[in-house]
Amino acid sequence: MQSGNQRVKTDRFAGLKRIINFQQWGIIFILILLIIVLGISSPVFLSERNIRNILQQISTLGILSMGMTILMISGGIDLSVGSSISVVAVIVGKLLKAGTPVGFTIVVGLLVGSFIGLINGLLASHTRAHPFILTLGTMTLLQGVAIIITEGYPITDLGKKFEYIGGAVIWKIPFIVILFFAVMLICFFILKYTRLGRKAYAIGGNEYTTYLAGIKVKLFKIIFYVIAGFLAGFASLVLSSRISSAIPTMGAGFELQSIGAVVIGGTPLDGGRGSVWGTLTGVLLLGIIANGLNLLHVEASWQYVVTGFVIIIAVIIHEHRAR
Amino acid sequence: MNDSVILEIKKISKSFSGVSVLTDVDFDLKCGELHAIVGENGAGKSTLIKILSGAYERDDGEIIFNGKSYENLTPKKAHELGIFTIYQERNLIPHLSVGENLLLGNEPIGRIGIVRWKQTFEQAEEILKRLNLKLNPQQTVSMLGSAEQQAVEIAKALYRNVQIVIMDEPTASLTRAEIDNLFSIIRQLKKRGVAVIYISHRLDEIFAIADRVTVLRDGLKVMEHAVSDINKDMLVKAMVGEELSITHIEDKGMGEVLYEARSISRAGSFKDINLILHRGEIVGIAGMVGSGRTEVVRAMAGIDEIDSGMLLLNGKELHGRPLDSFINRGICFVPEDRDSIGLISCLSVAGNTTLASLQKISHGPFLNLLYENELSSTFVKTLDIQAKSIHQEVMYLSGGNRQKVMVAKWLCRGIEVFIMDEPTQGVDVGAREEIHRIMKDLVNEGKTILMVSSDLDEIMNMSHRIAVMKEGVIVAVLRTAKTTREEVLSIAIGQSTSKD
Repeated sequence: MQSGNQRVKTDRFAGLKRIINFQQWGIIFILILLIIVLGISSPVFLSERNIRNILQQISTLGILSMGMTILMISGGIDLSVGSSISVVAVIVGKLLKAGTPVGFTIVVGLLVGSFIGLINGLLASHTRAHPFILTLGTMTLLQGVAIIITEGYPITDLGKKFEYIGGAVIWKIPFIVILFFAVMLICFFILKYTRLGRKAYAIGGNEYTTYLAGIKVKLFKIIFYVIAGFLAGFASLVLSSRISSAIPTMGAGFELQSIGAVVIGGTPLDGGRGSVWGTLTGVLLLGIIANGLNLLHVEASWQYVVTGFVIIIAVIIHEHRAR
Repeated sequence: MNDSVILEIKKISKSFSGVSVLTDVDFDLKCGELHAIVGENGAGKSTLIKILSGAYERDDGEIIFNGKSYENLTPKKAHELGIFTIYQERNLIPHLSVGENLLLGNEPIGRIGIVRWKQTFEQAEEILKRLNLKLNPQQTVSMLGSAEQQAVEIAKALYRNVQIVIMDEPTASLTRAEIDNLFSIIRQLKKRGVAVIYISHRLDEIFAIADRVTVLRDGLKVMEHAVSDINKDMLVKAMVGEELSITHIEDKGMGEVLYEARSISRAGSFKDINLILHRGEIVGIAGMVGSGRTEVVRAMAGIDEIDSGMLLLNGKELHGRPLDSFINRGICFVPEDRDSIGLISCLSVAGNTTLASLQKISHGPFLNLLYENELSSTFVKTLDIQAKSIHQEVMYLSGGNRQKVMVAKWLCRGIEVFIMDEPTQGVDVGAREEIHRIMKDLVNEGKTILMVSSDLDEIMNMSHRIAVMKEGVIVAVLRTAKTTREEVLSIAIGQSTSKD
């Protein structure tokens, strides 16, 4: 009893330790190595313009992956986010072409994304099927919907006002990069400083224990899917305004990249752990690889090979650390 | 009957992390004999049969089978020797047929490796006939009842040239008629020279079917007799042992009624349970494993629904779901299984402590982490939880400390009624005493505890009153000060209620 005071103390540096998640050092090391190698082999790589370019390129994936991080920490997963991006984009494209005001269209886009998240959440929380398979279903379904809406054709030239979001630059920083960092900070805040975030860790850590503690697990699972869906809608708006078009397959593949970034970031597939900073390293890694290989004129097909290889290495490192 | 000894065990010992479970146990078995093993929960019966079936490795001692000593027994080796264990949970492949299960891995095979189904089912029928079983070999196993599946398991062992069958509480889920059926199957086995090791806490069965009985207590063999030479009283005495001097928990007289179960039932689990918990009181539920103890406390904690009856807190009825209505009104469940139910192992000590009280540590939707740290530090101090820091993940804590974190979670919430399932299982002696001290502190503050324990000493030392359960019913409620260990045990195994 007497020694209890010395033995247990609040760790003043716990916050700092968690910000620089020790597990992530391996990935950060790879990142630094990559930056050095690319910096030497391509003179353009470290130029201001290219750095801005990289940040702009990763913003869509980054926004998407922040939602995926919260969802995966809670033990969920959503394969349909890529198709959501496509569906939201083509709906937004159609509305803009019909002359709907930009502000209203953006709200509709975000609502559509959230609604898809709600459907996924209801399916995941009220059936016994695994969310991986359920959202594989919605992913396929929504891809079809996106193509049906546009009859397979891309919608181009979405208008000056809408393009402004994707093209604006504030103090030399692209607006969408600012949006990405804002989303990241909000997600960090949610995970660390809100009851909602704590419940994500708790449900991912042990759903049944959380239920026994009197927490409405089903409700919160739905909320996490809605967040992921909302941010998929958000990512879709960012992407379609940047390229000023809506292509019915433009989101395809984003779901796997996003899950890859989250897993590289140290969130295990069964949840309970993870952080937005980890996911940031994952997103940066994928973005820098793609950009670097582009600069080195490596064919797109080889970019897939390298990215896949990096994901495998990262997961092995995490598994190794976990032991 | 042939009297040759088929199995001999000499001075078997086994301990788990320093706690010895079996000490120098001798045991032998003759062909065609049924040798029963009895003892309280935790006497070492299960450990002994797990060593025999190869599931556990022994620390010390010798196993001699058919005159030959065996160093390392693995489950595979045991099967090769003809030692088969029929566990309480069934071990068949549910969507295959009876015949396929019986001959699994030994199906008659044609020239090009194709299974000859006709022959398979003919052979299966032959085996079933040997045990007088009227089962269709083409029937899917999952369509059979539990008793029939058990019979198929026995038939499967017989087909594989069984020498010894080990049965662990084989009648636990059977009806009277099914038990009679099982006994006739066992008699068939014995006639064929198969030796049977039979574990049961139903003493009537021992006298109905066993030839010899061995009594284990605290990992020691305390008695071995031919069944014809003894009676039930002698068995119970041997199981209980010397009456230890019990240091009863201080009885301050009952407070007001806090929580009451009025005639609650749940189909298949328990029936017509009446139980009153007073402020400042610990009530222990004693009973053998499978008597419905855990089911009753889970229902009283609001986790499982009741089919009929009422739960009253402070005289007001509680209505079923949702679970948080129980928690909001001050009733909590501290489960036996710390890791898969009780705690979130990858969450910190602080996170687990405040899990049920997130409202308390937040302003609106926002957490006040400083207050959380302060609050959980208080509980860590009062319960003397040993952790590197409150931010350490609970998976790295010892069993006793994890148990304390579970209690801290509910203390933090301000719970009145603590329902604890096996509060000290798997913790070391020091931690056990501390947990008992915490429990006493709780009731001294006017809270109440309902405890299930397999450990009769814990029940005797830590409860003011004892409810004894048997087969889903509370058969007696005793004041601890006015009863003995022996009385509690003999009620739990049904001695006092059976008619001799």
